[in-house]
Amino acid sequence: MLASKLIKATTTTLLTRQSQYKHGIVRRFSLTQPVLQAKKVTFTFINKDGTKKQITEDIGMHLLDCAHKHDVDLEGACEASLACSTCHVYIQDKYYDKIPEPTDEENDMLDLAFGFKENSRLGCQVLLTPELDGMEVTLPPATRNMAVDGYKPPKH
Amino acid sequence: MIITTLNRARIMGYNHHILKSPLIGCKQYLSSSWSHFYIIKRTYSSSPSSSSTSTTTSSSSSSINQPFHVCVVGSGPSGFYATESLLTAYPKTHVTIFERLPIPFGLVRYGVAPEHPEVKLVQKKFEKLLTDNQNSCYFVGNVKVGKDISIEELSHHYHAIILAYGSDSEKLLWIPGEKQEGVYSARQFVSWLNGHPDFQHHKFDLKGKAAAIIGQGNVAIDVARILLRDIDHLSSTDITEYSVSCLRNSSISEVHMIGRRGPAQASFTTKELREILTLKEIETYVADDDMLSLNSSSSLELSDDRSRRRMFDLLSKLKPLRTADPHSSKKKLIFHFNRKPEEFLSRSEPNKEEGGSQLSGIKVEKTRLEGEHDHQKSIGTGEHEIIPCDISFRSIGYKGTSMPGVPFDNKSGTVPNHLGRVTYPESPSSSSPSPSSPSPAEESPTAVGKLYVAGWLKRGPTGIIATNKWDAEETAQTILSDWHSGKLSHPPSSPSPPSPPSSTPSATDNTKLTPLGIPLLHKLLQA
Repeated sequence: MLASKLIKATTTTLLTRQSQYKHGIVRRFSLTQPVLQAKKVTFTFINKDGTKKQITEDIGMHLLDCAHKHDVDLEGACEASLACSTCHVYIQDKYYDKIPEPTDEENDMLDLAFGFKENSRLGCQVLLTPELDGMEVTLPPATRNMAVDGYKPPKH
Repeated sequence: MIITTLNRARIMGYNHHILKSPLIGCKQYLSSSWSHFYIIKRTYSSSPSSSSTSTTTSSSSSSINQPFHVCVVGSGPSGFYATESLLTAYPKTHVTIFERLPIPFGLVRYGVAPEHPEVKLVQKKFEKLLTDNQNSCYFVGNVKVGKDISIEELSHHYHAIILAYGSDSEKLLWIPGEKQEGVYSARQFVSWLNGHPDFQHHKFDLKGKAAAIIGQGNVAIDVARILLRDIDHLSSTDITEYSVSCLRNSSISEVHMIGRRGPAQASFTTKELREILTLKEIETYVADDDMLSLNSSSSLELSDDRSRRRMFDLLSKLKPLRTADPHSSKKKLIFHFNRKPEEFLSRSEPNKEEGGSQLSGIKVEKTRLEGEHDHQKSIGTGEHEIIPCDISFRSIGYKGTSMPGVPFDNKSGTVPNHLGRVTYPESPSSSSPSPSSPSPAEESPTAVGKLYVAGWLKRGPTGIIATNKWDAEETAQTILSDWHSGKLSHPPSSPSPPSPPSSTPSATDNTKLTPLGIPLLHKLLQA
C-alpha cells in the first residue's frame, strides 16, 4: 500500500513536472515591464489634398523618417537637425498631449513654421510610441491660398 | 567654361542637338558627383502635337501634354523651390536655371554663417533635384541675365521666365561719415567669410577694441558671434582660411548692437538669439535698464505674435551693463535699443597705420516709439550720446536691384506682382515712368506676360530659407494655371531667334523651343 502510494505520488509529481516542462514555462518573477509583443505603431498621414495614407512602423521612428519611407510628401530640408521648419505637421488633438513637450529648440523653429497652430509639431521630433496608435497626422497647406483663416506670416 | 565646351563640340563635328551637361561652369567648385561635365547626344523626341502646333498658339486642351519650357533666373532657394514645384506638378516642364556665379545655391552657400552647416544641408536636396532630373532640369552657371543675355532674348526661347535673383544690394543709412574706412557692410563680411568670389578682395580692419553693429536681425547676430567667438571653434568650419587668419589677429573684445527701435521690434529669431546668449565665452548685457521697458502698443504687438513674444522673453532677461564685473576678461556683447545712428565720427588724430580704420565712434539719438500697435514709428527725442567704437558693420537689410526690361519698385526693392505674376504699371504713356521702372513694352515686347517672380525679389528680403517654399509654390501654381489656360503661347516665330553659324545642323521645327538651343548658346559665345 505504501509502495503504491509512493509510486502514485512520485508519478504525479513527475507528471506535473513533465507538464510544466512540456508547456515550456517556468514562471519567473520580475520587476521590469512586460515586453510588449506588438512593436509597431499604426497611424495615418493626411496629405495636403485630403487623401489619407495609413502607415505601420516601428516604435521609436520619427514621423519624418516614416513619411520618407512611405513616399509621403513631407520635406525635411535640414535632415532632422532642428534647423528648419519644413517637416511641420499638425497632430490630432487627442494625441497631442501624449507626445513629450517640445524643447526650446523645437519651439524656436515652430515659431517660423508656415501655418502654425496650437497642435503643430515638427515631424522629426515626434517619435512613435504605443500611445500614438491610431493617430492622424495632417500635413499643412502648401500656400497662402490654402492656408488657415487669419494666418499671419511670421514677422521675421 | 561654356566656350570651351562648345568649341570642343564644334571640333568634334557634332551634328546633333546641344550637348548638354548638368553643369556648364567651373567644375572645381563642385562636389565629386558633378566633377565631370559630359557631352551627350540629346535628341528631341517630338510628340505629334508639338510638331504640328509649333507655329500656332496652343489651346488649353493640347497644353496638357506639351513640353513646357521655363527659365529660372537665380539658383538660390527660391529658384530651386520654384523648379521643384513645377517639376512635381507638371512633369513635362523643362527648366533651365541661370546663375550669375559659377556655382549655385545663392545665400544658402554665401549667406549662412559657417558655424551653421545644418542650415546648408538643403543644398543636397537641390543637387538631387538636378541629378534626378537630368533630362528636364539644367543649370547654367557663369551667365548674368541682363548683361550676357537679355530678358528679351530669353523670351524667344522659353514659355515663361521666373525671376528669382533675390536681393543683391543692401540698404544704406545715408548719414555723415558712412563712407569712411572702418564702416563695413555685414552682408559683405559674411560673404567674405564664406568665400564669395565677389568679396575676396575685401579687407576688414579688426585691430581695434570695440565694434558696433547697426541693425537687429540675424545677420547682425552672425557678425557679432563671429567677432566674439573662440577662433578655434570657427577654424573647424568651412570658413575661408584667409578670414580665419584675419580673425585670429582680431583684438575686438566688445560688440555693441544698436537698433533704432525697441526690443519688441527686433528682427532676431529666437533660435539665433538663444545661441548667442548662451555662449559661455561671452557676457551679454543691455546698455541701460530702461531700454527693456515696453509701451502699451508694444505689449499688444507681443501678445499677438508667439514668435516675437518668445524672442522678447530672452531679451528681457538681459542684465544692465552697470552690473558688469570690471575685472572680467570675457568679451562682451551689449544691446542698445531705441538709439538711432546720426553720424559716424572720425579720430581727430589720424591712425598711424595707412588704410586703417579712422572711426572713433557713433553719435546716436535716443528715440521712443509712438503710435498704434503694428503702426508704431520711432521718434527722436533730441538727446544724443556717443558710442565709442573702432569699426562698424551696417546690417539694416538687403535690397533688390532692377533688371532692364522688368518693372521694379525702387522703394521696396521688389518687382511688382500678383501671386507671382509680374504686373505692369497701368498706363505707362500717361504718367512719366520713373527711371527705375522702364516702360516694359518698349524694352521687351515679347517678355510681357511671360515674367514671373519668386523669393525675395517678390516679397522683399524677409523670412528664412523655408519661407521660399510656399512662396515658390504660389508662383508655380500661378504659372501652371496660366499655361493650362493657354496664356503662355509658344514664342513667336518672328522675330526669329539669332540665326546660328553655318557649321550647326539645320534646325527642324521642334527645335525652335530648345532651352539650351544652339541659337541661344551661340549668342552667348559671341558676347
